[in-house]
Amino acid sequence: MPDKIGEVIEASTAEFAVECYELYGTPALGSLIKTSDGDVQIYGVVYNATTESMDPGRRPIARGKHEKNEADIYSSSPQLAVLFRTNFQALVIGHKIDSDVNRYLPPRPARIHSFVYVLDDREVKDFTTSLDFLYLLANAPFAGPNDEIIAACLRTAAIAQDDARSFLIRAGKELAVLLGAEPQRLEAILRRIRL
Amino acid sequence: MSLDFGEVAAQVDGMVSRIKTGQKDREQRLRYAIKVISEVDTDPLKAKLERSAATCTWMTAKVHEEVNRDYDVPDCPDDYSALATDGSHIDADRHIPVGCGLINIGNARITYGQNTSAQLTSEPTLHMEEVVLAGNMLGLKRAVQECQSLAKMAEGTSGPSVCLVDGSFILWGITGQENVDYVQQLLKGGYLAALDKFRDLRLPLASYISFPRSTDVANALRVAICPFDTANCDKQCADEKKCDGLDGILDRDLFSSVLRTDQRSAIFSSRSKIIEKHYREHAIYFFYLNVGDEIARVEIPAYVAQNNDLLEAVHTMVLDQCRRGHGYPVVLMEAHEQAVLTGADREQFWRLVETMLEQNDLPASTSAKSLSKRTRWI
Repeated sequence: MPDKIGEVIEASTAEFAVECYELYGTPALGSLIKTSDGDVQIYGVVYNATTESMDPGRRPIARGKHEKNEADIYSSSPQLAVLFRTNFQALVIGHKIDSDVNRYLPPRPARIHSFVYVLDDREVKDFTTSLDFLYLLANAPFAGPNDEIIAACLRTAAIAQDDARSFLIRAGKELAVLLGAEPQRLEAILRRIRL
Repeated sequence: MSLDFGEVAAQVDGMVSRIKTGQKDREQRLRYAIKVISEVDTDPLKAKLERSAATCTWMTAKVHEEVNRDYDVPDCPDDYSALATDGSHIDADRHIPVGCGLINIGNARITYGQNTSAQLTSEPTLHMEEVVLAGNMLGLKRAVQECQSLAKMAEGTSGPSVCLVDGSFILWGITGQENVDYVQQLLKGGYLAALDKFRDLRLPLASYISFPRSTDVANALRVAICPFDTANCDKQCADEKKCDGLDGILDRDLFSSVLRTDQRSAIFSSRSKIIEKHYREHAIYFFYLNVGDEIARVEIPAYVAQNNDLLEAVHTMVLDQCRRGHGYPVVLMEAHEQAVLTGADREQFWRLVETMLEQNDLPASTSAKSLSKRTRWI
């Protein structure tokens, strides 16, 4: 079993928020992760990571004027590591019931405090045998620039493939169908996955 | 209608004018006080203070060494732990049909050096015992719990460390308490037992008072300038004090002239009746510390004052904590942050109590006054 990286702290059908156990312990933008709603495994794509003060009323102040390097700031003030937290959001892109993997929304959201894991290469390969999840990504109401997130997801997933280039070509064709009416978006994404 | 700031500003203006008028006089008294402390002869003063102990109405510091002595800060170890507790409480609300209050103790332990770490936690305890909710007993109970919690945290501490609480070690709140038995129980079973534990562990324990308003040393100087051989205030100065020249002078005013940044003063001890009556061998000593931004008062129990290694550890580590905390010990600041109860916390606490009473079919209705405050209408 891989190490868990955090817990779900907020969940809806289409996305969930995760608090990381380690400060700055967020997976890379676009990484595939999983959590659960009981027996149902829920898959998500990482976006919108933030690191901020636990207490909204206490803002960080500049501390490093007399320190040689940035690490010294944390060793001079060890409490910082427990006063900040790193969170990220994940867009739900599929789920698994029993052994059936579905690339559409699950029946129920993830549960609060469900553990969150990063998919290993084998799980990424299994999940991306079908690219139907791109429909959810392409139409998601992201808070940020969603085409960046789609491209980051594909680049990350490509690393786990035996043949990254043919995976990206397959993804490009899928996107061409989904974004046929939006050539500018399509071109922006393709440029970001270096096709 | 909310606060009339126009009216407030006019009154503040009047206050500022009065302070301004008295400023010249105050500066003159301060110059005199500084002259007195720099010239005072300690041994005769010590003797006069002892002679006057029963008849002087000012609460004077006990003097143990040269009054105007200063001490440079010893080196601070790279590896050390700072431990602190602080507390906050919610008093019983008579508009709620159930008598209960809450104490929240914040704990902080920060370790510096090779193996840096930090643990910040809080411990709430609900109290519904009548004896705890009477008068200001909850505040007293809280002070005792802070010390107990710190002692518990300190168990198993190895290597250099300093243990801090906020405010004074002297439990001023015990005077005037009606339930003497419970106060004794709190003191013996709680407070003194915790101090015993610290003493047995030989840990540098201190309480830290920022911007102190104490006058123990200034009062001792009043005895120094008293024209009589033994100060007998009621008898000799019933109409006019002969030590008026030191009126309004605080200890921190005196030591801001004696101490350079990082230095601590000589140690003194408190002559408080509370200590003499209740604290057994744990007399409370104190010194003043120039932390750069202000003169702070640091109180220490007798076993720390009488052991130079522990005393030096308190001096250097408290100062290091102040440097790291921009003028205030960072470990105390974090303990406070864990303990603090906001207005929203307090409201939510009472809402939780009401909801759980209702769920169990128990009377939960609040008074009409309390309700009118929560649901404001026109």
